[in-house]
Amino acid sequence: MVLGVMLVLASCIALGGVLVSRRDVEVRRDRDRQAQHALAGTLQAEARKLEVLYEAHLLSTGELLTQIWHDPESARQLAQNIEGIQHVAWLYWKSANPEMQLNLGFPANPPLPEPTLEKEHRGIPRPRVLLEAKLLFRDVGGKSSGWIDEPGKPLMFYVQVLGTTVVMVIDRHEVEAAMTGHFKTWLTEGFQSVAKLGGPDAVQDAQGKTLCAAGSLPDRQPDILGPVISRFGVWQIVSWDERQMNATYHVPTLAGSLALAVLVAGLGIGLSAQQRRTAKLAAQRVSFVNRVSHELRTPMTNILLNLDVIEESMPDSAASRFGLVREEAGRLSRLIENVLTFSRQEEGCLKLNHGPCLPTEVVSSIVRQFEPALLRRGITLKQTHEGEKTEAVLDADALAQITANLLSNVEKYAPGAAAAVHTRQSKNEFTLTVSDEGPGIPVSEAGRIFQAFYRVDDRVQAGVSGTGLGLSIARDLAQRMGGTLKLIPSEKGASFEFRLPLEVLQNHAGPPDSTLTTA
Amino acid sequence: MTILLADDDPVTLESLAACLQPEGFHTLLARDGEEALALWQKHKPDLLCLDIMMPGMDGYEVCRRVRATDAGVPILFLSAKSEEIDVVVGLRLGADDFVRKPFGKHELIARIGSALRRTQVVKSPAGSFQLGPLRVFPAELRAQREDMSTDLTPREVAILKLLHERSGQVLSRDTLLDVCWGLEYMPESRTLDQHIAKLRKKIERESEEIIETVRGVGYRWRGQG
Repeated sequence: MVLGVMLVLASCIALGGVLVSRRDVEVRRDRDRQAQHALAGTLQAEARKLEVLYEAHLLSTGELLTQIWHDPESARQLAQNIEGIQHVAWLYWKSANPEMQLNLGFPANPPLPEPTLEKEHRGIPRPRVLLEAKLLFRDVGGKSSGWIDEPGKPLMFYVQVLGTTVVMVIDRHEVEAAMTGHFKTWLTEGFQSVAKLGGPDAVQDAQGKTLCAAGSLPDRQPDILGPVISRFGVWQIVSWDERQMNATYHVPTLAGSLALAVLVAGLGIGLSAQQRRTAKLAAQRVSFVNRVSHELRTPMTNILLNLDVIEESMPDSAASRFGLVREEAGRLSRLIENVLTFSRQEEGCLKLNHGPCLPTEVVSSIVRQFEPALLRRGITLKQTHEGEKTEAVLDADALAQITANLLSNVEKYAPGAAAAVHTRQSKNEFTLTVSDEGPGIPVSEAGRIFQAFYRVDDRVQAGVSGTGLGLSIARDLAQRMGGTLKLIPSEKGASFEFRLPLEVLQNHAGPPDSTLTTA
Repeated sequence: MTILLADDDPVTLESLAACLQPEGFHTLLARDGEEALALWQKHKPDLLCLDIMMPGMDGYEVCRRVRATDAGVPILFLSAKSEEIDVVVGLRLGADDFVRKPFGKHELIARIGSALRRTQVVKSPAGSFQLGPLRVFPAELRAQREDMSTDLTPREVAILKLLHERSGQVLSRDTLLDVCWGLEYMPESRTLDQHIAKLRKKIERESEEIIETVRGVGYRWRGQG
């Protein structure tokens, strides 16, 4: 029991220590940065190449558009040959009618902003972007071109030839989409082999949409970003470092808890061994007492039988001494009986042997045994019976022992007083009451008198002998028989009542209410 | 009344015999199981008192073998190791009672009487006779008076039987000794007086005289009325 509890406790301590000392640490293995940068550089160069190509197309288209301003349909066809042109505006140097607009996109709501020279301020509620004339016409005698890429304005490309400027509003997203499409094709062949060599995990656009990837990608933010930037959009080369969760333990905590667990377990084993040793020793003692008591029984029987044999030939002068010897032999027998009963209780092997007997006869025989001793101590004993005298099934030896232990108390503690043994038998109950008019039992002691080895203090001091087992054994036997033994209230002295439910065997008794008196 | 006593302790055996013989029981003594069985086969005693722990054949085995041929004879077990007695086994083997050591003469005789009664009750109650207020049952070793049943020894039964048979006659001490103790037995003269005294204590009530002392001669029962 102790061992089990201690081992469970030790396990809990050890487990708690492991849990408390454990730390989960993330180990990160960096990817090859150079491979990332190499691909990013190549992609950037490709983007730049596309940009230059696109700009060249815009320039040549813009130059043509300056010449065919009067033919909107041809201009439309020309502008639509190039991706991304949404709107075309013609602006003229110092002209009274400086602008002409050509919207190439789908009808838009709100409508596309119209590039308009700064000097014009007509207050017409149309979306407009004002352009600086100085910039557009800085070289009115020759040619000029360039990007207008300013915050708050759409992306525009202008071409000026001899005082006529064509401004093209470019849809960045369309160009970006075209470039993305180009990159996809461009990456199709090379990316997987680059990825295998430790290259990046994926290429994504500005919205995080994957262009191409080597396998599935983690949900978390990428660890390496290689941006590819152009006027039209941003792409990025992304990679994730390899991460691994490793458990580590705080050694002092772990060692401390394990040491404590070992200590507790050791303590448990030690205590358990000690307990077993103690129990074994106690069992050996009980067993020894039991054996000795057994060995005492045979010589005791021989003594009792021989005392009975010589009783008749005993001269009168020695009769009282002989009586004394017999009483003491009887007392010794009862003592042996009580010690044996107690040791059997302790060993847990006390068994009752039920059989048919006359309970009143059992009580009477014990009363007869006690008569000489009671007489000598000046105790007047009155035995009365009420009810039937029939055979019943019970342990006669146990009943005899209960009666003897109760009478032994009367003999010890009520010298010179009157005492009474009253039996009552009905169809289903047998009651034995042993009462005396001696000093009685103090109320404060009443609860403890049935405890083994307990003796009322002043009686010990008064020199009354005894083991302190009698009442404890009597009560235990009473309970094992299925009955009760109680100290019942009485006006004077002590009064014990033993009640036993009966199983009646047969009925061959005389009339009730007969009284037998002995002194 | 013959009783077979079996015990491996010679002192106990001798003491048992010394207790029972003066009370009118005829005893057969056996030191072990084999001897007990042989004596039982030879003499067919009225009752057996067997110690359980005996060298060789133990009490249980003797009981089992006796019961195999005789279901009726009362068998008592005497043992110092009562808690080791398997009562269930004992009862199944057909034992009638277990007497736990230590015990005295009176307890033993009471248990013998009780065992005899239990087996005799089934048999015929004939043979009983009335002696004043007493009804004496010789086979059961008891006398019944109203509701009171008194245990008697074979010797006491013999005395009461003689008093009953010769009611009204004064029985001399010699006659009583010759008939109840037997001619070969030479008891001390006070033995008879002691027996009568004990018998009176058992059967007579205060200021009552069933057995009348005839000074200088002997004893008498006056007979009915």
